[in-house]
Amino acid sequence: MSWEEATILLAGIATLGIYSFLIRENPFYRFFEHLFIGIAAGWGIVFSFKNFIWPDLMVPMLGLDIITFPDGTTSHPYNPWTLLYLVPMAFGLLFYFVYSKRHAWVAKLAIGFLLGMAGGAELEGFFNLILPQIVGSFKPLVVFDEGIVDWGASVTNWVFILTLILVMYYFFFTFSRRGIYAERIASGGRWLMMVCFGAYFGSTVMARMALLVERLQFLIAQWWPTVTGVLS
Amino acid sequence: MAVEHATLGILVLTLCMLLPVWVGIRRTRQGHQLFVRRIKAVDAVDEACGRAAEMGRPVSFSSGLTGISPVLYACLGVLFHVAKKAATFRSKLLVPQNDAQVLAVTEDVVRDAYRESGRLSSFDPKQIQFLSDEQFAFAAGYMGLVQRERIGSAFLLGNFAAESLMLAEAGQQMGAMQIAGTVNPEQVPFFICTCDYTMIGEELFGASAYLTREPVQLGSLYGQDRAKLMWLVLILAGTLVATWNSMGEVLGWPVIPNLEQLIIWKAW
Amino acid sequence: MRQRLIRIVTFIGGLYFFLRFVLPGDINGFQFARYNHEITNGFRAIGALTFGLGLINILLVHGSRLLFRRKGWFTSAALLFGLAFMLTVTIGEWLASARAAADADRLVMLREFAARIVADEKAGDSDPPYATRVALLLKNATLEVERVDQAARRENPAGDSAVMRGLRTELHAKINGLRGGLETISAGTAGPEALLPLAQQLSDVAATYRGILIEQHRAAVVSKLYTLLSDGLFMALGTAMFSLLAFYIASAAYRAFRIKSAESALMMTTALIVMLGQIPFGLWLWDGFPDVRMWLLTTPSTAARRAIEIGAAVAGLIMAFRMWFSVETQSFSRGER
Repeated sequence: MSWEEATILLAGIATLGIYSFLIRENPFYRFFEHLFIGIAAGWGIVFSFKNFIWPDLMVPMLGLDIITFPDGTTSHPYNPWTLLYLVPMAFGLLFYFVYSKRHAWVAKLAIGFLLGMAGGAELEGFFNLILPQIVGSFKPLVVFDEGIVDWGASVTNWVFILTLILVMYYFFFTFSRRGIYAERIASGGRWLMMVCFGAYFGSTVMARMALLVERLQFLIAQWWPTVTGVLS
Repeated sequence: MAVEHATLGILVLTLCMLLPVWVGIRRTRQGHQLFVRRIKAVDAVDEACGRAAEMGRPVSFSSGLTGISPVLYACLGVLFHVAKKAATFRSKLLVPQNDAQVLAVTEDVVRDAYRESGRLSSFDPKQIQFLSDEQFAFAAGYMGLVQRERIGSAFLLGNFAAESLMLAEAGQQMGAMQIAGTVNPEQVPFFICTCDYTMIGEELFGASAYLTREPVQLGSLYGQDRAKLMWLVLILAGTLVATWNSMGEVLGWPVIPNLEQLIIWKAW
Repeated sequence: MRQRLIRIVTFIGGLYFFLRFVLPGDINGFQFARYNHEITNGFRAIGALTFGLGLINILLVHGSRLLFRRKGWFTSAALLFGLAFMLTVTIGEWLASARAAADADRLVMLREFAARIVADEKAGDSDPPYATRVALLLKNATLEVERVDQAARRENPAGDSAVMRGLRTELHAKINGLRGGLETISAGTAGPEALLPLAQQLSDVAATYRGILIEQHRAAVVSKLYTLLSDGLFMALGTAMFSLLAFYIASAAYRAFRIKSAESALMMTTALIVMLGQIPFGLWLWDGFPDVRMWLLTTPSTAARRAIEIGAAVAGLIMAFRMWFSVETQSFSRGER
């Protein structure tokens, strides 16, 4: 049996192990579930080292990116400021105090720093996300096409703006909804949200089915012939 | 329309959003009663905890793929409440995790909840279990865990991606009462189909205020609504200006620069 | 005291990114974000070593199960075995491929050297003298070419794959071209411009030689083991999990239709229209389905999504400021009061 055949056989058995969950949780699924978690953990550790810690932190700190030429000159001088990376790395180690009964509060320093960082960075993210959407919502309620009213586009824009207003209204928590119209407007927002969710639901169905088709094709066209080939 | 640096318009808008929050917090601290409309999903949190306790089955709380972010902070408020209930009712609480840093934060929060309930001795750090930071390994682990432990109630709050349906289906198959909440609109329909209650978008952020009735959180909710109202008015104004300009092109009216010019105007 | 310290550290954490956004890009020639890449790396470095938290948790939960033979010890053993095995194989594969890449890097170094000689000569900054450096370049390049030629030869070419045969032929041709290039350049007479084509030739030989090393590495046991684990298990399990969604989406849709509420009916009707707009059967039923689908996605769906996102973003921003200024006695710092 070649390595390629072994890989295909293993992939097929693992796939069937996962699919067995559709009947109910069972030892076959449980085995592959745990194996998956273990493999993902091992891969994740090396991935974070390989893709960030080593090339972006360790290599500049150790000067391993410096090339020495045959005449004794170097590609660039060593930058001692990179050693400052040790400070945040050491600070990040404070997370491990979460396992100490007496000094668990020390971990809150690192946690708090990250929470503060996320908080401070939010303003830029907010405006970069929201401003294009706000500006994109400035749609004219009367659209002209060569001097004549384009009713289709105009109605579309009316629907857009009304949907936006009604759904935003639904999410007001502290304005009391006095009167029958207030409750109906909020209800209208909820109905329009259902249209949105239905559209998302419908557009993901095809993609999910395609994934299943791909897996079934693998099992039928690659895995099964390999099984019969190995057994014969 | 990438915004690399704040302009005067952006700073003004930011202050206009934060000012009502400050006013709201002041008002609630002074004892003003604030109206907060009912959110069914949040009302059901206590019911879910009680149901699991009655059935003698564990409660699970998952923040999905949420990293260290404001969304996590919103989830922690509900987690604290649920952990206190679980401690009080002596229910087993399972908190499967996807992110190692979030693991440390949630362990801290759950420990504090048990401490505040006077049940610190019942707290077991192994309740907060790191599954995987890989999306589908996490989903596989969660699905297996909830079925083996036969959970009575499940909370799925935070950021979710494609695995949302799997997580919710696993609990559904166990007959667990499920409350979900996410800021990702694409995942909401799956939660609606599989969970008993779903918090949509910012309802997740209001959940903690609703549960705890803390003045600061209620005041923030007050400010949040006024900030949203400001954006709504801005959208309406921009729409009217766009309509004027559209009609003006044909009818010869003067063109008004739209609001985005004001917002992105660089004062320096 | 502890709470105050936590609050101060929390505030400092958010200061840089906030100021980077709020302050102008250039303040009288001083660029606030000049070292943005390095500072961002520094912030990322804080969380870099926290993978150990997950590892410790896994070892605590599953290690104790295995040690004390508690229920589920066998699957915990499988998890720990998978972890250790994958860790070993991935590290081995990384080191082996790095070693292979390093072998070709000597040619890359000579290319960089050639480019540096040209740049320094143009800047009038050649120390050691230009002729000495070119002589050193030629000597080292000649030795390196011979070494690569010897290393890339194979006693039994019949055992090579078609890809490998192609790479060896290509390398042989490029080495001959490089040898020709080296012969035409003689120390002291070659101007800097003559070194640029030589640098390009060195780069071409390095790229092809690296291709051969990668092919050789792929045939190694550690690489095949890595492929077995990554393709045979890791990717297969992930794809299988993802494909489970097809079953669950069908059961979710069935459940939604059964709920018999007007809202779920509206949701599933919209879903049905969007689905019909994507498939040939829908087009056969009515050729307007694709247009209706597109209108639903671009108009009410986009508008509703936008409204949800604006609300969530505003709430998130206010929550972010509360986090940053530690405004409330939330669950996070409660224990330190």
